[in-house]
Amino acid sequence: MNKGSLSLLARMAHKELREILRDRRTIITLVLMPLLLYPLLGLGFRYFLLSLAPTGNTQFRIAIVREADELVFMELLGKLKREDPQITFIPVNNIEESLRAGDTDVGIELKGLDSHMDRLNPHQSIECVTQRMDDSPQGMKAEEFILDRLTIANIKILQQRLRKSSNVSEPALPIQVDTKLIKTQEGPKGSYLASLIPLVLVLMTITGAVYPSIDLTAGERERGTLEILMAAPVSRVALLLAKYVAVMTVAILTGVINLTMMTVTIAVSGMGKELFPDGLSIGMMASVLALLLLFAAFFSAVLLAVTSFARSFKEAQAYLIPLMLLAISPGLVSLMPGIRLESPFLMPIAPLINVVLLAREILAGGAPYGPGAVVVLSTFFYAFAAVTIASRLFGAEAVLYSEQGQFSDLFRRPIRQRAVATVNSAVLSLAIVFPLTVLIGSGFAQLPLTPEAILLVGMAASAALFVGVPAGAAYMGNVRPVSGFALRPSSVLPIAGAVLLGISLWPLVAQLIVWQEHLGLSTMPQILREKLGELAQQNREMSPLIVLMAMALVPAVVEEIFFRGWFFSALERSLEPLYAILITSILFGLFHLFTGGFLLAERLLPTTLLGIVLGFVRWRSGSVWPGILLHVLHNGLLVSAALFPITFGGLNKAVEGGGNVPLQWLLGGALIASIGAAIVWMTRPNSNHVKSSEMESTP
Amino acid sequence: MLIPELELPRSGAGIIEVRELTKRFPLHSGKELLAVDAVSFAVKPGEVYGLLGPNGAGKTTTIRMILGLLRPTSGEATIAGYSSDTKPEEVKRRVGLVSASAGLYQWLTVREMLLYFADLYGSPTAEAALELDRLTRLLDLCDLLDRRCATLSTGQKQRVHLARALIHRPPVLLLDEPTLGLDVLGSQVIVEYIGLLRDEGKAAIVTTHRLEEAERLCDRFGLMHRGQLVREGTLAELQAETGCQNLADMFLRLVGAAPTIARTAESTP
Repeated sequence: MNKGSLSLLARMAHKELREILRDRRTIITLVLMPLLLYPLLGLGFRYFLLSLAPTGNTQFRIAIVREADELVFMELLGKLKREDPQITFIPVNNIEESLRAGDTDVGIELKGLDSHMDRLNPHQSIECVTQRMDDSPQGMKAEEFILDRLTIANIKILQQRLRKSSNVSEPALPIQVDTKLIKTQEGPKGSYLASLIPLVLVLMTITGAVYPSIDLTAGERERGTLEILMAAPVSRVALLLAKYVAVMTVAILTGVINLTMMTVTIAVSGMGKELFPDGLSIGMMASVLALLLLFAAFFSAVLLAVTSFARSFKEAQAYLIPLMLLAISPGLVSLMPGIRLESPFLMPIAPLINVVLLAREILAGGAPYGPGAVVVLSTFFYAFAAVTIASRLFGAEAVLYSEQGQFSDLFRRPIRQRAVATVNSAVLSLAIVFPLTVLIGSGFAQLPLTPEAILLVGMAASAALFVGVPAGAAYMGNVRPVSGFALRPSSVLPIAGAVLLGISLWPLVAQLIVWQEHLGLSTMPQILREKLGELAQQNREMSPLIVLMAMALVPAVVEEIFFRGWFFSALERSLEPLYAILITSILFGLFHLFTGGFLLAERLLPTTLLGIVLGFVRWRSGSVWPGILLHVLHNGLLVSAALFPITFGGLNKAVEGGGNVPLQWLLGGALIASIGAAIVWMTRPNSNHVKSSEMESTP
Repeated sequence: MLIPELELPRSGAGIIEVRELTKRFPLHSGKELLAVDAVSFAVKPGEVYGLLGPNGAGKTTTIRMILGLLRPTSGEATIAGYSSDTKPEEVKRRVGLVSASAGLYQWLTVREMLLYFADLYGSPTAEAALELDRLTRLLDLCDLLDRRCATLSTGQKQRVHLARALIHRPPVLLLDEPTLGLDVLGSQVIVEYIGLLRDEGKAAIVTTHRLEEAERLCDRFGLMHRGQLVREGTLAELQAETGCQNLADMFLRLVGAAPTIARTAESTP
C-alpha cells in the first residue's frame, strides 16, 4: 500500500469516525455508561462489604502486644460516648495470628513513644500502625472508626500546639497512621472480587464497539449508502479497513474511558487496598491498557466479520447475541478461582479468556512472560484472521443484494486458478497454525507415551499442521501447488550454495546461543534445562535414525514448505523481496519462541537470522528445494552434534551448553558460509520469469 | 493476486458497450433464476438511453453488472473499453450512479458528503471545490450545503444524489429510477438536468416507469421483459415497428405478448 492510498484510508476512517461520534447513541455507550457504571459498582461493592458486618451494638476487639499501649491509645481516641462502639483490648503475642484466628478484629501497634503524649510539645509524635484481615467487614469498620478518631485527635492536638506557639513553621503531624492488610489466602493474589475487573473492562470495550460495527456495515447496507460506496473506485478491502480503524478507535476510546473511570473510582472510594493489596502502579495500568488495545483490535475485527455478514441492523443484532454470550461464558470461566493462565495448557491460546486471565495476572502484580507472549501473539494473529474474513464478507454480492445471492457463494472455490495464495489466505493459515503449534508443543510432552512415541506423534502432528493447513487453503483457493508452494525445480548453483550454507552455519548458530547466554538473554528455566539434559540422554538411547527424522528432517521440510513455500510466495507477489524475506523470517523466529510450553527468548535471534538466510536462498533460487536442503543439513548437524558427543568433541559441549565452539570451527564455518552465500547470490532471481508464465494459467 | 496486464481501451461505437450480458442467480430450491438473458446494446457519448420494462425485467441487475457491482455469469460490459469484470475500478471511476435505493449519510452535512465522495473518486481538493460550486448553482443546493442529510426532503435528497453522482465529472451516468417518489416539480428538475448532461456529451442510461417522461428525455430505448431486450430503437422506429403511438401502449403490448418477439437490435445504428 503506497502513501497516497494510506492517506485516503486515513481520510476515510476519519469520515467514519465523524459520523459515529455525531451519533448520540455512541456517546451514551462511550461516556455515559462508564461514568455511571463504575461509581455504582464501587458503591455496590462497598455496601456489600459493609452489609456483612453485624449491626446493633457494635463491639470492636483490638489486639495489642504491649499492655501499656491501651492507655496511650485510649487517650488519643478521646472519650467514648454511649453511641460509640464498645472497645475491648486483648493483649496478644502475635497480632497477625490473632487476627487470622478471628479472636480480634483489628490490631494496633504504637511506635515512637512509650508513655502518654505531651500534647503541647511540638516535637513529639507517635506512629500508629493498624492491621486487619482484608476480607473482614468488622475489621474494616473498626479500622474506619479508629482512623476517623485519630484524624480528629490530630486536628485537636495541632490546634492546641499552634495556640501555644504560633511560630511553628512546619508543624509535624502528631499521630502518623499506617494501615496494613493481611491477606486471607495465599495463591492468586488480590481479592476474589478483583478478578471481576478485567472481565468488566473487556466486556465494556466490547460494548463500545458493538454499535459502531453494526452501524458501519449492516446499517449502511440498510440505509442504502453501501451501494453508492461500493460504486466508488475504492477496493472493498480499503473500505473495510477504514471501517475497522474507526470501530477500533471507538473500542479503544471506550476501553480508555472505562479504565480511567475504574481507576478514579478505586482511588476516590479508597477501595484500592481491598482490591489490590500490592497497590496499583502506573506500569500495571499501562500494561492493562496495552492489553485492552490489543483486545480492541481483535474484537473489533470479529464484530466486523459478523456484522458484515448481516444485511440489516436487526439481522446483525441477531447474530451478535450468540456472539456476546459466547464472549461472556469464557469470561465467566476465568472467574473460577482455580483457573490460571499457565494451568490448563490451552488457556493462553483460548481467545478472550486468555486476555481476561492475563489482565488479571497483571493486576495481581505480575504476569508470566511465556504465556503472556503467547496471549499477545495469538490474539494478534486472531485479529488478523478476523480482518481477513471480514474483508471477504464485506460488500460481497450475496450480502449486498440478498434477494438474489446466496451465502454459499462466499465459500465457493474460485473458478480461475491462481498461481500463488492471496496474502489473506496465507495470513489465515498462519492464524490457524500458530496457536495449534503452541498447543502441540506444550500438550504432547504430557502424553503418557514412550519418548519415541512422543517424538513420532509430535512429528506427525507438526507435519499435518504445516503442510495440511496450507494444502487445504490451496485447494479452497484453487491455487496451483507448483507455484503456490514454489515446488518448481531449482538450478544447480543455488543448490550448491545451499549445501555449503547447510553444513557451515550450525557452529555459528551454536556459538550465537552461547553468547546470548553469556549476555543473560536466556529465559530457559532451570527445570527445562534439566529436562532437556534428560531428553538428550534419552535421545542418545533411541535409534539415531528416529531422532534425526523427528527432530531434523521432518521439521525442516514442513517448515520450509509452510514459510518459504506457501507464505513467502504469497508475500512475494505484493511486496519487495527484502520485506518478504524479513516478514517470513521474523514470523519463523516467533514460531520458535515457544517450545514445550516455555518461552525461550534465546531462540528468537538465531532462528530469525537463519530465516533470513533461508529467505534469501528462496528469493534467489525461486524454489523451495535448496532451502529444504539447507534446513535439513543444518538441523541434522546440530542434532548429530548433540547425539554423538565423541565424534563432535568440543562442538558437542557448545551445543549442550557447556562451552564455546572451537575457534577453527567458527572461522571455517564463516568462510564456507560466505562462499555458499556468494554462490547463491550469483544466481539471478528468475522467479519473475516463472511467475509471468504462471499468471496466465487459467483452466 | 492475479492482475492481468493493463488492458488498453478498445475503440468502439459506444462509450458503454454491453455484449451478451447474462446473469443467473442460484435459488434456494436449487434451480436458477435467469435474471438477465444475453442482453447487448451500446450507448454513444451525448446519448440518453432509456432502459424500460416492467418490474423484475432485469433493468437494475443490468445496471449493476455494467458498473461491476455484480459479476455477470457470462458476457461482458465495458465502459470506455474497460471491462467491468476485470477492471472494476477503472469503470467505477468513469461512472456516476444514481439509484432509487441509495441513501445518504445521516450524520454528515451535504457539503461533507459531496466532498467525501469527490475524495473517494480521487478528485483533487481544488477541483472538487470548483465542481461543488458549479453543481450547487445548477441544482440549487445553496441552502442545503450545511444541513445534515437526515433533515432533507425527498426532492432535496434526490438533487444531492445527482450532485454526488456528478462531483467527479464522470463521462457516463447510470440513473436507476432517478425520479422515483418525486413530485412533478422535483422530477422536472432532474429531467432538465439530464438534458443538460446530454448537451455536455455525457452518455447516460436511465430506467424509469414514467413513460411520458422517458419519451421527452431519451434518445433511444431498450424494452426489457423477463431478462431479455425485446425491442430497441428510437421512438420513431419503435412507433413504426409496433404501430403504437406512445411508449405506454407499447409497454402494454409487450407485457401481454410472448417474450420472444423478433429482436430489432440489428436495425439500429
